[in-house]
Amino acid sequence: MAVSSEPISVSAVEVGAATSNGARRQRRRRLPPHVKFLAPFGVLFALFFPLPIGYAIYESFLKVHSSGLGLGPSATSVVFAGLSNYSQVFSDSSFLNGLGRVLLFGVVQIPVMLIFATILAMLLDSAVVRFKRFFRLAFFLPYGIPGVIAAILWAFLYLPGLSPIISALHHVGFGTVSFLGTHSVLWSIANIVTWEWTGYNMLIIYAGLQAIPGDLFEAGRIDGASEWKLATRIKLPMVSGALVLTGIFSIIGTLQLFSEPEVLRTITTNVSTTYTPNLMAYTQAFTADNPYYAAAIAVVLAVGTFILSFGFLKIVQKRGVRM
Amino acid sequence: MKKIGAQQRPAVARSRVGRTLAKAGAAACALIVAAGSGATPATAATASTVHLTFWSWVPGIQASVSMWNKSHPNIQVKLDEVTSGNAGTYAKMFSALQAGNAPDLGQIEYATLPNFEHVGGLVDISKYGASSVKKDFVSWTWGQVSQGGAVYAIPQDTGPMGLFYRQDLFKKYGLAVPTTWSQYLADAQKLHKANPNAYIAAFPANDGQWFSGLAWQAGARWFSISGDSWVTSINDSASLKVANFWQELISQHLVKIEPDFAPEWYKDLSDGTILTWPTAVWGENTLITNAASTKGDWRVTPTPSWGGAPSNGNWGGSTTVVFKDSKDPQAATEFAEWLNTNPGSITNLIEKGGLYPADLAGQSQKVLDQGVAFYGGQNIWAVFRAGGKLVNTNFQWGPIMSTTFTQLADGFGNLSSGSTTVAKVIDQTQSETLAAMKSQGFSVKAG
Repeated sequence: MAVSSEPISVSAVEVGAATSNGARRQRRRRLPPHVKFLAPFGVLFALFFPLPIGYAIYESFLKVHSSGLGLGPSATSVVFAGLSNYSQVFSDSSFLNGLGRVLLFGVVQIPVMLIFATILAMLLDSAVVRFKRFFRLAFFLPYGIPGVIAAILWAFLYLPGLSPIISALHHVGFGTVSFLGTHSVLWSIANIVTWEWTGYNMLIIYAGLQAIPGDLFEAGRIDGASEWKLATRIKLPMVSGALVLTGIFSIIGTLQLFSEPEVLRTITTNVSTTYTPNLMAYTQAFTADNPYYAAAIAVVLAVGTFILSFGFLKIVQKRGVRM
Repeated sequence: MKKIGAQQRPAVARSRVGRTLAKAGAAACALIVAAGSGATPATAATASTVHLTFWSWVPGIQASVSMWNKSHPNIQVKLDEVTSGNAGTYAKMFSALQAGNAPDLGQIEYATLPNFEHVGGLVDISKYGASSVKKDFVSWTWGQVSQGGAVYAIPQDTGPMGLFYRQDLFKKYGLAVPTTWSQYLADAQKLHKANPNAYIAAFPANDGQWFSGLAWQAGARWFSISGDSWVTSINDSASLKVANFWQELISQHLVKIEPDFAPEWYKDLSDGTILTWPTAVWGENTLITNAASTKGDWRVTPTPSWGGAPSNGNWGGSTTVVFKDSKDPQAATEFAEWLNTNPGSITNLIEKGGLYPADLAGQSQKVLDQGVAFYGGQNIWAVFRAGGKLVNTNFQWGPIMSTTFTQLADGFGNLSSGSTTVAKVIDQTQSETLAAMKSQGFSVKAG
């Protein structure tokens, strides 16, 4: 018997295929190899993307239901909630306030940061600047510092009584500046974010500038364009793709604002547990033990980010920007 | 012909991917099974030995566990050192309970106990004889670990409150050590007149628990059970009295609104910006660690009274619980009782863990009955031992305290901008907690 001499690992199907249908076997053998190469990726991708996302969506349709005192094992159960978590999200004033806050933050902080990054990139790209490598590294350095550490560093610079900035301003006659006040704290967070990310965005834009063929500038110069003209008429349009990319990254980052406010929360009472939507989801999941509501917040936030990012892309594409 | 081939290829490919996925899944399952069985041989090795796991964040508690393991060869406890409850361990415990693999024993604070009872995570250890140790503990603690006849935890430590004050600065500004809250207010006004940059205290606007301790002292009863229904009364008259008192101090700019346990607050405690701190017994260690330069300047006096019979509040303290997944709740209960009543274990918890025991005999141990150099040699323990006996025994926590505390802290956060008052925050927390409980299906009414 040929079958018994085969190693056990060979499946019955394969043995059957080998003996009864040579043609089918041949077709199996000719399976595209890329499938095998893709399999490890496929498995890991499924484990870390569709599966958790699917689970979060599933959880967002559940809720805990208690009866009576809600004490003891039989008094509490997890039930299907329909869309009630979602309707709660949209009627939750803390969520809407948090969303409004990050939108305001984004409208101000993203343009400031990108303008700043573009100027720095153009300066580095221009012929007049010396020590380019040093400055490129120096501008990029804040990005290498983990976000939480950066927030802690800045927190100490914001603390009255400990901050050299505040005491310096005080000495020059600015009075006692409050970086952690009810309204100012949002812009203190914006400052941290700008400090952290300007260098990163600058590098993307700088790479775009480096990719511009030199003959364009030559042609421009022959036509009598000044350096300023070259910058605004050639460089800027040519890096618009990089600007769109950094813009989208920034929109996503803004909506997911979390670690900076979470760190500042420990030193000021003006950052609540619902300060940003992400902070609110975190509080619901890990403080209030309500992972179902947290899942709904997270899904709404993800969909919102998706809409905003693609909306932005659609708008700029209509205006002829190519990535 | 070619077209058919093109159509077939993806189909085959898909099925192959499916099979590969299934195989990988099977491999992962095998790994999990292997990992699971890797943990069990310890039990299998000696059939008569019980192995328990215990999650705790108390520093130095390992020494107590080792003492137990030495004297109880048949019940071996393995300690997992975890971060403190609100720093992530409670979330981990809730998840483990949901997954059905919680440890046998765990550390849980009083205020969080009903949260865990609510998810059905705790064993009623009265079935294993826990009621027999009731007499060993400060009476109010037993009220918080039990519901009717059921017992859900063994008390470990407590936080009776008192007033820490800067004796040197009180002398400098000519202030009398307050015995009532109205004297406290008078001191605050006198101090502010003498030095507008000094405050009688900080109002920790991030800390709902601090306020709850003071409300407890005033006789508040935030939660109670009536029949098969919760009664929620966070804005009862005692709480509003406390709220209005602190609002008065805030309105007259006599307290500094700032988060507690934060760098600026530590600085203020050290440099004389704030002169008192109404807090629990464990505050002694906070000052020693974070205001070291003020050695010899602080003293402790009983919490100022509201007039009438003296009473006190409590802030903090925790318990040892047996989780529902424990395979041997009997052995776990024995350990929990021993851990919190054995004199050797308690000495260790006091000395290394900085705990103030709930065990009455433990409170009279020698280490808790002597002068402390940092407090100018004052026997501060005597103040707290007396204060612990005055703690109102009726106070109860609700089933969603983490939500309630979050609501309080978020509300207090708006105090510095003047857009709200302490009393408004209390009212708001009451209605928000009620609404949250109702939406989760609890039977609840306002008290």
